[in-house]
Formats: sequence, C-alpha cells, structure tokens
Amino acid sequence: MKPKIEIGTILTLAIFLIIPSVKATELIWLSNMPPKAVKKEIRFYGMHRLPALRGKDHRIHIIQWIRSGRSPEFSEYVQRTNTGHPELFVFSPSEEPIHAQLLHTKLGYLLSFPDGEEGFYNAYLVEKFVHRDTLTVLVAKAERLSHSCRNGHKGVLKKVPPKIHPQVVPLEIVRKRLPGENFHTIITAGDRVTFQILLHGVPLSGASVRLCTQKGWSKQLTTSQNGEATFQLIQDYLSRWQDVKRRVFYHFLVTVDYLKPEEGTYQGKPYHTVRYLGTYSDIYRPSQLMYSSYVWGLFVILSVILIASLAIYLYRKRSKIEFREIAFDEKA
Amino acid sequence: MKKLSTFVNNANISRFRFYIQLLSFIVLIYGGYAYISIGQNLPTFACPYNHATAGNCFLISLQHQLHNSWQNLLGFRGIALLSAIISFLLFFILLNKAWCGYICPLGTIQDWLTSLRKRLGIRFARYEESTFRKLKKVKYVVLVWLIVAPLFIANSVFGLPRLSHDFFPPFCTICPARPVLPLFTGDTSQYFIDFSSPITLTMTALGLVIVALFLVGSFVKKRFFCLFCPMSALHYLFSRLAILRLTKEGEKCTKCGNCFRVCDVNIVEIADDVTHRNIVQDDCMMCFKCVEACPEDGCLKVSVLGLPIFVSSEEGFFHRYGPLENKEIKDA
Repeated sequence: MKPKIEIGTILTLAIFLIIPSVKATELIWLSNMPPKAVKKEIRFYGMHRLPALRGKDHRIHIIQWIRSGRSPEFSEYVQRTNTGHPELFVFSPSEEPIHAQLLHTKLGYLLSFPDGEEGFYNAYLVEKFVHRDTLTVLVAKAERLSHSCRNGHKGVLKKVPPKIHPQVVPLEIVRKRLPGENFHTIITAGDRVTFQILLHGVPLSGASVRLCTQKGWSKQLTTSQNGEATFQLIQDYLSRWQDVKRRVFYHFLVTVDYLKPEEGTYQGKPYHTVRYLGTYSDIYRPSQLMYSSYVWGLFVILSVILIASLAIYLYRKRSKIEFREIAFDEKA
Repeated sequence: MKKLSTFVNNANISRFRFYIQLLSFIVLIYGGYAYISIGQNLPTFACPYNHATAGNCFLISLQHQLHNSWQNLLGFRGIALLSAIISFLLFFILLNKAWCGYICPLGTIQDWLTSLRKRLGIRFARYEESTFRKLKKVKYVVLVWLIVAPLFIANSVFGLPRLSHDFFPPFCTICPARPVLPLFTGDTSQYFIDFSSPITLTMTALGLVIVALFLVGSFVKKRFFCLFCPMSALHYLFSRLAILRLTKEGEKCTKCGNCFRVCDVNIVEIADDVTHRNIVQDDCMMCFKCVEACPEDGCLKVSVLGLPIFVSSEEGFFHRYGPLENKEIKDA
C-alpha cells in the first residue's frame, strides 16, 4: 500500500519551513506611496510629487515609507525593519551627506530627510545580519528627483547623471538615464529602462534582477557582463483613451538577489555565504500614446489650413472688382 | 560725431533688423546646444518645449509662479513671483517693445512667411479699422486668462470649485510657439490631440487650430499673431519704464502717411497723432520702419535714455528709397 501524501501535510510543512525564512529576511524597500488611510493627509511636493512634510525647522522634508514585499501594490507598510536598527545614508544632489531619520508617526514608519536643493536625492537604508550561516546585506535605495519649475533649471545637465556611493553602500542599483533626460523626464510605459548593478562599485554580472510594476506584471533578467539589465516597461492595464489616468504616477520595484560564497564573521557570528539583496523603486506614467493621437493632430491642422486657405481664396475672389472698360464718347 | 549720426540715420535699419532677427533666432532656438542660457524670464517667446532653447519665456514662468495657493503667494512664493517680475522687467526695460520687432522668434517666423508671400506675388491682407480695434482687445483677454487661470486652478475662489488641472499651463497649451518652435530642431512631438479628458481634448485641438491659423494668417497678414499676443499686452503695461523710446515731434509731421503705410501692424496713430510725444502703441513692435520711411528731419526719433540714436531725416529717406520719381514706398 502506497503511503498517501496529503495536501494538508505539504501545507503544514511549507508553513513551518518557508515562512520563518521569509520572515527572517524581509525584502525592505523605500516607497513614495502613502498608505490609503493617510493619503489625504499627505502633501506632495514638486513636479515629481514627492511626499513631504513641513519639519519643525519649517523646511520641506521628503518622506519615504518603509515597506516589505515584492509588489508595489500589495507590499506591507512595516513598523520595523529586519534588524530594527538599519543604517541610513542620504546624499543631496550635490553629493553632500545629509541627516536622515526614521520616524514612527501616525502616517506610518517613515524615512525622512530635508529637501533644499534641486536634483536627485539618493537615500539608502542598509541592513546587515547573519541568519543560518548567511550574511544578508540588504540595500534599499530610493532615488528621488526634487524639482519645481518655479525654482528654475540651473545646472540640469550636471545634476541628471546618476551618482553612486560605493564607500558606504556595498550594492547599488543604478538607473541609467534615458536619452535626453532632464528634470522634466518621467519614465513612461513603453520606455526601455536599463539598470546597472554595482557591487562595491564594480559591475556585477550574473545577478538576478526582477522588475515588478504596480499592477503586478513582473519580469526577471540576469545582468550582462557589464552588470546591466534592460526592461521595457509595459502598460499593465488596458483602457479606453478617456479612461487613462495620465497624471497618475504608477510605481515599480526593482529587486536584485545575488549570492556570493564568502567566509567571515559578522558581529561574532560566522557565515559562509553573503546574500546581497537590493531594492529600488521609482515612478512611471502611462505612455502618451495611450491617450493621444498624432494622426488626429495632423488631421486637425491640415483641415484648418485647407479650410482657412480656401476661405481666404474665395473671399478674395468674391471681393475682386472685375475690370470694366468704360468708354466715353467725347464727341457726344 | 555728426558723421556717425548721419551714417546711422542714413542706414538701412530693415537690413540691420533682418540680421539681428536671424542671430536672435539662432541663439534662442539652438543656443541650448552650445549651453547658452540667457534667463528664465525673457520678455519674448523662447519656448522651453523646444529642448535646445537658450532661455525661457516669461509667460511660462509667470503661469508656474501663479499656480500656487494664496498662502504660498503671500509667503515665500510671492517673493519668487516678485523676483521673476523684476527679472522680466530688467530684460524688458533695455529694449522695450523692440523685443517683439528684433528678438521674438515667433515674430521672425511671421516676417519670413511675409517675405515668402511677397516672393510668390500674393496680395497681403489688411484689417478694416473697426475690425482692428475689436481684435486688438483679444490679447488683453488672453493675458487675463493666463494670469487668472493658474490662480483658479490652485485655489478655490469664492467657494467655487477649482478649475481642472488639465487647463494647466493655460496659455502654453494654446500658444503657437509650443508646436512651431520645436519644429526647427526637428521635434514634432507637440502635434497631438490628447484624448484623456474633455478639457485636454479641447485645449490640444484648439492649440492646433491656432497653429494652423497662425501659419495661414501670417502668410496673408503681416504679423498676424502679434495682434493677439499676450506678451505684447504685457509689454505695453510696462512700456513707459523702458529706456528705449520711440517719440514723435508732431509739429514736424506733414501727415504724408508713409509711416502708416510701412507699418506691419497697421497702427494709424503713428500718422494721425500729432499731439503725443510717446507714440508707442500696444501693437507697436518697435521695428522702426516708420522712422526709416519718414522724410521729415527729426520728426520721428529713437532714443535711449533721452539720447537720440536713430532719427528720421530727409537725407536718410532719399538715401534709402532713392528719388521718388524712380521708386515709391510700397506697403506690400
């Protein structure tokens, strides 16, 4: 008589074996998206709608929620990171380190740093811990563009290229800039976005990179020789032209997972493998092609040119005074 | 000194203007490629929708600055708005409305279309005086719209619901410079109809209708768009502050009408008004063709801070046009 394997037994085993390990290394990421319950209380700043709070110093402070999971839509808003005491590094657009803090507020568990300059802020939350002979190095990165046209557009070309900080961040996900990118560029569905993964500042090949869009579409790639993986963002919902929410920012999350055999001790605990986990979140918008038409644009402009030209021609033709020769008979 | 003033008074200012317009056009449209940045508050159409622009038109800056809550406008943003206006004025007082006649790329394009029409031997159009009087008010309506609309988008006025953000920027969406100027750098991306909402559909379609009318209108009517231009209206509000002046000594005027005949914007006051010294009208673009065509010594004068730099003279008139029996002043 063959032994029966019941589904219930498998599920029980899964719960005991898998869930503790997932809980042990929560995939932490920094999110722009406020929880639905507090969305109305949040003030958004600048063209790229950064969630912000007015600090006690009367300055604008950019805030990021600490979340856990692989999907931007369903990731949990956590109240604690894996270790509870992560390292924080935030660099201003001019690459000056700035003071950041983790706050437990009624809006949630937040990373907060002061805004004061136009350009990309790089914020990192770094955690290291040993679990089952593996040292996990988790780097959650947020690259946030602070820009308001009212502040002008000085030094855009210098401020757009990505900056890296290998001196403090072991694993870095770098979003390569789009052609002609400036402060007004917002990634749209259909764009090909390249991410370069750097380990201690060196391109990392063979790492597994996964991109997950807000609605749940995901794709996994392995980095090339120069550490790059290119994704074409898709419009992950279909709708009629009129129903496209063109001003809504959707979020995507990029995660990197890389295992490296390496022996050592961390805080007195020995390990044989290092697991590098990286997260990077950003925003994108529906493609303009989803709700606009160049054909109709051309049709409108050509029609008006034709109609206006014809109207002018007919008006001129109608108001033209025909030449009439009048002969006077002087003798009469 | 007398020799120099005679040389200037006898000069062909229209040819000088042609080269200045060409140079300004190249700098404003392509200057960005050479990293030229003139300013954010230029009193002329320098469209930021053109990626290679060397500066920004004040109107876009004004709309952005006004797109603020009352609270912000009474605080820090109010200071920013004030500094933008001061910056605009500092540029403006140097050239007065000559920004339109010599610098504006949209004006230059209209002048080129006029030249093309002349070469093709097509008759020009002119408004009747009563039509002209009615149409010239349109630019003030547009100016009020672009000032009021951003305030109404950002604020609820008298408890009324706020205007939809789809109107923003209220003038740029219908300005012909937005689609026309980027064309010169090969960018056709502004020729689309946005179907995402009834407002964007209306505004983008209206924008393209205006572009088509701009092209046809400028072809048959000299400086067609200038009659509706809100920048021209704004210039006129501050015209008396400028250091560059166009003045007339009425007692020297014989009302020959040459000045009116050469005027691209059909300002009748230039010939009729013999009482006012400052004869810059709201539609005047200070091209100084009238000074060129005036045969009376010292009747029309261009001056900077009261110092005459270009004065009408009989000698200059005959130098430019030759003996009258050989050549007539043509207004086509």
